[in-house]
Amino acid sequence: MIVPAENMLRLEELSILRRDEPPLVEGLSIAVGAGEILAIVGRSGIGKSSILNVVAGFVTQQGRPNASPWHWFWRKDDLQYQGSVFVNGATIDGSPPELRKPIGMVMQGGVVYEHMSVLENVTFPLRAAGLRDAQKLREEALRLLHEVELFDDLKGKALDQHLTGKARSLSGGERQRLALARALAKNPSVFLLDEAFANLDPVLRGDLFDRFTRLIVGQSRCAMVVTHDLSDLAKVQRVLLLGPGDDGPGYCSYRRESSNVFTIESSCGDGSDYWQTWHHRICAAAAE
Amino acid sequence: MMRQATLTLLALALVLFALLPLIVLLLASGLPDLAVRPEGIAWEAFRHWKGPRLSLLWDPSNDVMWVSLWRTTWLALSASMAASTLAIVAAYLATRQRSRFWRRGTQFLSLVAYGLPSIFLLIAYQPYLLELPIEPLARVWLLHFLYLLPMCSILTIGYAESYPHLLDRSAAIDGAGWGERFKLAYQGNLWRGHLAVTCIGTLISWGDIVISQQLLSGESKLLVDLYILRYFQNDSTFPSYTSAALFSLVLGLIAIILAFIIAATNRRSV
Repeated sequence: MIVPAENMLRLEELSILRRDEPPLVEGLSIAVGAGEILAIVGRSGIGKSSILNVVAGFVTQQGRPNASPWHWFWRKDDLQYQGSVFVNGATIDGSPPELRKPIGMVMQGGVVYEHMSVLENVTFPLRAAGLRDAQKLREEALRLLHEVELFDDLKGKALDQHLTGKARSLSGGERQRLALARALAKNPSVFLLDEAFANLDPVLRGDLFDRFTRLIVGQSRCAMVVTHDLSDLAKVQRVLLLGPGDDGPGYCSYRRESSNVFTIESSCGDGSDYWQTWHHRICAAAAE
Repeated sequence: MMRQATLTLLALALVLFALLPLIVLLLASGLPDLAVRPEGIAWEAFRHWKGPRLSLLWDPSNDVMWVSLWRTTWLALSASMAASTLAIVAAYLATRQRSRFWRRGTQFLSLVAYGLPSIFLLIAYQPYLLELPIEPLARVWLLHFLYLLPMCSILTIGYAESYPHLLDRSAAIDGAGWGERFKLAYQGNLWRGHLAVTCIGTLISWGDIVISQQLLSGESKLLVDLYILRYFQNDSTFPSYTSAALFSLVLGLIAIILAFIIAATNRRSV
């Protein structure tokens, strides 16, 4: 029997509204516990990344002023949300992204600050938080890079050269690891991965995902992962499937029952071909 | 969020452009128009020029150049509005077109937009400001301010629109506040190209001011070997306001060309 983990991230009655269009997500309630990875799947444009953006603070709650001081000048938001987001039991609605300390995010493709050195990249969140001690920053950077196994085999001058080299010279896989290390620097309890390992070769992708899984499960964190690659589902505990429904957007959540079986947690869509096809895909991915 | 900030900057720059001549006008209000009869090669060339003239400044019947605050303000305002229009077009293109060609084109437009008001403002106000009964240092700072401000604001607009959205979001979730994110954009996307241009522009404007001051005070010693100064000094008469204005124009054009070369060779880092 699986004991329900303590909820670290909880979405309550989340609806993502679009201007002049039907809602993208409607009435979504889901909780992710410590050590759990929730994969969000569904067709393109169904709202997977928007859910992450809500959690990250890039979407404004309806009726609440935008956190940006420049908001009054520009335009109404294209997306707004209703409902609430809780992290470790406390609501984070209304706080701007830079103040959402328990949340770390790796963007699509793994964004790195190319004009900065590797060292500056990794320590960026620490410097943003006010840490200025060069020695401590370096030690922390080495620890973080070790966690993602980047430059682990280098020492002395060679390591220094790589650390002080610009991030633009890194390969695709190294960039992803660097982005992951940077996200780790905040020591977040909730990770958001928006197709972070996309466009990588399958071996490297699998390797990075394994590393990521160890970081989540081993350190009692939780994660929401948007993915198009269903092979990732073999390594996650929960799956959230988004899709269209009769009366607006629907969703269906799965929980891993055993090493190769997912069971449905909540009622699934409207039984249309879309839901059936995705159900089969998810079950097949779990069995792999 | 960055988009909002960009548009705010755009609005701020537009307001500055629109208000700048008026601010100067207010600062110098009450001062009379100056009737100047400059002498020198440039003025002679101007007088005998058979092509189209900028009769706004020249009164052929009295053979004088009216350095009129109202006229020059009108001129500067027109130039500012033209520059603002260019800036809007540049921002629009930067938003809509992401190809390398259009980005380069947009950079050029923004640089032209910077150049126009700067040059017009300098030409328009320099003769007048040199007559103002203020300390030389204050005069230098005023000219410097006039030269630098439009350049900085336009350059900021020209590039802020191309600020990478994902980078901004990534920096935000990394805990960086708005200021740090803007700094990140500056360092990443502006430093190598446009901050260098700003430095060059600053140096040129300083050089321009120093040279003009030295020429007008007849104490040109430091740069006496420069060909252009020899040109002026070989002229037996006192260097004219027109010469100074033309000199500014030449320097401004050099600044634009340099800026364009740097912008064209500048590679965005993200």
